[in-house]
Amino acid sequence: MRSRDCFADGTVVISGAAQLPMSTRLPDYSLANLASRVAHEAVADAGLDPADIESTLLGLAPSALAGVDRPEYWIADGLPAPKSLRGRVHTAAASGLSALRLAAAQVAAGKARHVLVVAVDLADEASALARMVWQLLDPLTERSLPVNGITMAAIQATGFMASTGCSEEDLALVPVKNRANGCRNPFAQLRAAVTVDDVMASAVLAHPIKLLDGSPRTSGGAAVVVSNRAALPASAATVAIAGLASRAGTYPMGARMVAANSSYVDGADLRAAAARAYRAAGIGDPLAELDFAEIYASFGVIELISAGALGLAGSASAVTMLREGHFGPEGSMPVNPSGGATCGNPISATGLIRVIEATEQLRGSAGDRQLSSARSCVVAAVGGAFQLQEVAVLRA
Amino acid sequence: MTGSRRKSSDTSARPALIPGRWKASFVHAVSPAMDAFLDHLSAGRILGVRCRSCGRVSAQPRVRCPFCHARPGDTMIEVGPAGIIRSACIAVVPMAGLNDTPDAMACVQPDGADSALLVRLHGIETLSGAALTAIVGRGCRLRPPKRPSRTWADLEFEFLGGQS
Repeated sequence: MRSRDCFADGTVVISGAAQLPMSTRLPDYSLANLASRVAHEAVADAGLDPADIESTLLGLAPSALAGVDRPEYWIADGLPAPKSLRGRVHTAAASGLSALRLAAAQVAAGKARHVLVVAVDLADEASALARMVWQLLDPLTERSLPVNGITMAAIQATGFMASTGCSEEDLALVPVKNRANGCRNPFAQLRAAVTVDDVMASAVLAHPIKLLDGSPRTSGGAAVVVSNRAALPASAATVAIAGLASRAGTYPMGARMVAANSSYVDGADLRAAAARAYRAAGIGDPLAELDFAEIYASFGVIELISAGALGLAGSASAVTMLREGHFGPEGSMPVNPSGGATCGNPISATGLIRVIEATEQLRGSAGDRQLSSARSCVVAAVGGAFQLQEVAVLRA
Repeated sequence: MTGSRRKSSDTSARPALIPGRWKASFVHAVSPAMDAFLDHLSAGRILGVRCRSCGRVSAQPRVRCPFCHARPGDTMIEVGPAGIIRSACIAVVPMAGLNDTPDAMACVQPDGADSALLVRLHGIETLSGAALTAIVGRGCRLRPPKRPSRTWADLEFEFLGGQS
């Protein structure tokens, strides 16, 4: 059976989800009991017993974030079904969504009826993130340079502004929107609104990126159960996984910012992945057919590039859509009604948290942040070296 | 045995905090293509490789073409030393022990190459706002290494100013 057929008929569903309120520090948790808690809560949310879980996948970012080389060994004993642990997925910030894709593939292939996906981070236990990211890079060509998540986003932002003509104030509209959304999200780490002036006046990290353009250091955890719909009672509150796709772009940043390939500023790799996910889900016009989006974006520029690549701006530009309020919670295409990674960014879990936020919206259980219309959505996350794209289409 | 005992599956005990520091040293080997690149760099020249599959020139040379992912072959050509700035940023917050700030990093496409190099770019450290964005598309030139060496840190460019 081709994968698009598996997803088109609503066989593969999200049956349970759990997340923890995000915080800079979670001193009452180790990585293992953080994973244990969200995992058990997700299984309970699905109405399942631990013994029902036939496969477990962990989404974990670099080991340096966990402080032990193989955190999956440490985490295993606290899981609902330790013997079902199949492995660990590490695609940096896309880890949670990559693990979800693999879980869905297991269910679609008939290898398991219920697969648990768990993703956790305790940021307060790790050393300086910028230096840790630098240590992941090419030792020969990149480590003599100040390459880290901030400067990578700064280069992306300069290129994006030069190619689109938008301004730093335009980029600042993304955290302004997201921080306002985060005020209604009880799981958000940052729950205070900011203005464009606040963003522009915040400390410069790397021109043109300022402190409030980005996401905070965050500890948090998330878990999702992916099930075969036929293995659940008819009354189960499920969300269908209608389409999934991923794409790994070329690694060197300099080969993604030229005429031959400008995916770093125009999102071409994400656009290609989204085209496959939309085709599987039967989506022809994402702006017309989808109700909202949850996009992992550690900086505002990434959200704008992603929204355009996902087709959420239609024939307009993402910057225009943002300026005109279309990406706000009352707009025609709400983007990150949760507040997104701007309001909390546990790197391993941040992709899975986007899935959970989308699930809550589609179930109608998103509380104060519930959208008026939420029947279908797209979820996206970028990982790796800002070149690994993951896309999921979910339906109520 | 009397008294309460924690079940082995109960992981909710308060964690012990164990400060730790990772320390490890590595020696990294380079590919034959990079070996040639570094040899020429020490003489102030930039090498690229023309892909025999798609025809694009990648600088630095790689064992896989970054555009079509074919094995590019060994047709090395000299590119630069002038180039076009495709994007840039100015790091303001230093990474401990690694750099002095402000520190400018850029993607520079050497003349004759289809890809850009991620390099340190001198002469733009004081730029910000629209002035920084305005350098995209403008020219720069390889700053010859001060001494023969074989490190990427010597691949530094100088902003030429002027109009795009």
